[in-house]
Amino acid sequence: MKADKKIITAFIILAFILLVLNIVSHAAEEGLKKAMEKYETHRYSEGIALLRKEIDGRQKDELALPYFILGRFYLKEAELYRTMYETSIMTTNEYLNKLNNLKSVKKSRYLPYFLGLLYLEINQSKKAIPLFQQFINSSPADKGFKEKAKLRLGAAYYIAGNRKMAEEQWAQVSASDEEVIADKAYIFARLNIKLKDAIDMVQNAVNLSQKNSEKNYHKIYRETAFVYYKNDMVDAAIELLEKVPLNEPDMVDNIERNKMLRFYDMSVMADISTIYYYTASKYFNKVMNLRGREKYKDLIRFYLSEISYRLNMYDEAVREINTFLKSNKLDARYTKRIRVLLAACYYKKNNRKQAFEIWDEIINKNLQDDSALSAVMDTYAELNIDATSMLKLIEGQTVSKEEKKMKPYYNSLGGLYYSRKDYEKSVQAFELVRDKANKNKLESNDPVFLIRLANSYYRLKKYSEALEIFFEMGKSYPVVRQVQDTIQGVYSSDEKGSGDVRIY
Amino acid sequence: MVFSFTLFIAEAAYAEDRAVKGQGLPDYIIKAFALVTVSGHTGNKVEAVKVKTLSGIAANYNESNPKWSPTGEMIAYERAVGDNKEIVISNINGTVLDRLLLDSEGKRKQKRAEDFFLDEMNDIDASYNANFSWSPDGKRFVFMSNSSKGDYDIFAGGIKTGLKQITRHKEKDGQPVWSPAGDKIAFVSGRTGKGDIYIYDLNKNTTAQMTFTNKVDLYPNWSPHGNRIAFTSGNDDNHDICVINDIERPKESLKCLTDWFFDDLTPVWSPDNTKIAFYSNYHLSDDAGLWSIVVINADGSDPSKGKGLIERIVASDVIADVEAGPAWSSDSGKIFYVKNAKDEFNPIYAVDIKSKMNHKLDTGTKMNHDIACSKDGILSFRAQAEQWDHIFIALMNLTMKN
Repeated sequence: MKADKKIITAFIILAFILLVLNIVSHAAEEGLKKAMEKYETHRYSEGIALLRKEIDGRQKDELALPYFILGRFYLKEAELYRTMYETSIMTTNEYLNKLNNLKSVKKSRYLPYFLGLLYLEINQSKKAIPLFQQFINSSPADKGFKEKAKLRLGAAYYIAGNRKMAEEQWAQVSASDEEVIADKAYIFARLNIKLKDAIDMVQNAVNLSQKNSEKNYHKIYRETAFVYYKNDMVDAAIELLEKVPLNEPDMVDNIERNKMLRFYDMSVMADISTIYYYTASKYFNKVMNLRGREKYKDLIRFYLSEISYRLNMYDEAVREINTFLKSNKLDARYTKRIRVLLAACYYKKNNRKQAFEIWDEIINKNLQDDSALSAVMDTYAELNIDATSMLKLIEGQTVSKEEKKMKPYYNSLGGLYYSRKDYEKSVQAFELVRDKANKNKLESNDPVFLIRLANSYYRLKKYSEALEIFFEMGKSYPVVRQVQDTIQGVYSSDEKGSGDVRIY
Repeated sequence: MVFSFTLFIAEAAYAEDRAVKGQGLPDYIIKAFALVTVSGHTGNKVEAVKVKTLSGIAANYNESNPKWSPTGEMIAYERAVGDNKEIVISNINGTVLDRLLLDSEGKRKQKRAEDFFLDEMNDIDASYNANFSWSPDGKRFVFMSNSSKGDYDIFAGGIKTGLKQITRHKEKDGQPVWSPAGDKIAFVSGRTGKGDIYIYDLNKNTTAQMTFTNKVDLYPNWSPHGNRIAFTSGNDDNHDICVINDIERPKESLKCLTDWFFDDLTPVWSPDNTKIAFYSNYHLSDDAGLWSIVVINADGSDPSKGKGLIERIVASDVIADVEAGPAWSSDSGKIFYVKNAKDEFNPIYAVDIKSKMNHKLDTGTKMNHDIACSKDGILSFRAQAEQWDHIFIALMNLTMKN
């Protein structure tokens, strides 16, 4: 009888342990499921916050999956900020040039400075130089901006290959103000010039800004975050970015009564995108050092190739792609997509013949494979490659799949038409992708897709359609405010009507 | 007139505390509406006493088509999330009891985070599940699903129990309705190349075709006594209301209760078995986009066209929710519907069938749709909140009269 009791007791204990283990495992899966819902509904920052909590309570051998998912979230965020940046460049370019070309109207003193910023961003440093010079000579009321302009004038010379003039400009900068201190560290970080006291400089700037409420702390924080990232302090960079109100303009200029201009530095979106790409790669690499990495490694190489490409590290991307192609156990769709990326790397490295050999082969062998064609269309659109012959081939193809499954294809087709400036067709293709019941909602539409659609409407001068989308997006991504303001400015100019930002 | 007990509403919601009447309420209603004590006085008109969301306001999904269980304790409704549409079964206080989102094997989908994130190029069809109908005892149900494959069939099951696929045809099967006797399921199938009504016998596992017209036959609805089926029959923009009076002799017993060039859709039998309500696009303004509700005798004694049928209109300018149909009160004396009044955000109205008196219910909700009335007189419907459609429930003073 005693032996029986012992067996029963042991059985009860075992059952209890199994029950506890089951509850723990169930709770862990529930956390990841919630993250999955956030991913499906495009609530990436909320998903990241959820996963961070998940990771806190986990043992090392349970971290591979949450790290992998975190990588996926950061990759999505990076892509989104990159797309917003490209849009902001487009709308800011049009807006600032409209302002600049206005006749008989009082112009903002800050216009040359922000036009200079724009040309720096789009690699037209020679156009930026006279604008910064003009701004410096105009003696702006805000002395800090004059010093910032000197820093950027130096940067423009540096990029144009005139290092001597660059150093002359930088030597004239009076870096006593915390905004200028942070700005200097930031400009050098962006130019990949190592400053040995960069971290001290930005930390000093942050400390000073906390004591001085008048200072533009969000600008200091943003720039500090980028300096942190460049100095391998990416966690601190992200922590700081989360404290920044990203919808604040860099300068509000009341040029006349009821005439107010808001100016933004669009580089913040590019910086955030870069930091997120890097963070995604950090989490993917963490998985590669953990037990249980085997099932993730092919996909991780797939993503790391993309990240290297996005960070302009084409040799690194080619290496990753070749490793992937040698060992890949994923299905053929991945191989086709990554070969499209390989060709893009060759193209960027000026090996165009090799690039087109790959693309032509993929197009000709995959006329019925919408996934492979989508990858080529996306790449052609991004690199502005003439797709006339490709379109001739694919426009006659019959689509056999259900409409829902064709959404990625139409999304790519819309992007291709957009790159060819055929905005009517672009909108037509994009509208096949859009959720009919919830047209502007992020939960029902991929935000990157929504931006592409809004851009097409903007190009067709259907401003209200574009603004509706950006308004909805601004609720989740405050940084979009700068796109809204610039579109509103262009709209006011075109319609000669009133708007938030009046330029007359 | 102050009545014998009073009702106090714990939290003000969409409709304010208003007239209530009657003796006692089932526990599940008291709990669902968080009713604490009782205070109020009677009114002659039907009113919404308290309105609340079934499961709270949340972004990310749209809910629609609530269906009350015969006991009035549960609600099944559809929830669209992304490209998927699932059926959620909850009790009246919003606790979810089951979800019907079928995978390619016709089983409830178990979505694991790892599978999801490892499938970068997810190529699986969306799972679409809809057209829910309760069995008469409320223990089982039937619904339509594409099983994540694009092939629509009928499935039957119970809460958290196994599911049985009861049709298996490459053409679409849908709109299943469980018979009041519990032994049959009427449904629509496209297997003849157009829509026809069929009956599946649960005891014999046999399927019998009920309609043989050259028209599209849709929206079957069982008579409460269970021996007759009303449905919509027609083509393009001209559908009529027809009835199979004896399911053993479907061809011979078929009779159409309307026969004019207006569109008549979604017949719903009154709970007392005597009348049928349906939507018609007959309208004084001659605008085919405007809908009315017509109520006729189920025995076919009313005119099928012309002035005689026009006189049976009980409400005009209504929103035609064709998936739900007009919502009868459980005493068969009233119909609830949504008024097509954009400036008032499409409010809910009630119409008294005898007097044809229409009046607005102050539910405080906007862009209402898909009304259903429980056996206790609780209304459920879909309304917009923070740009998403959610299921609301409304306690009515009518509830207290039952």
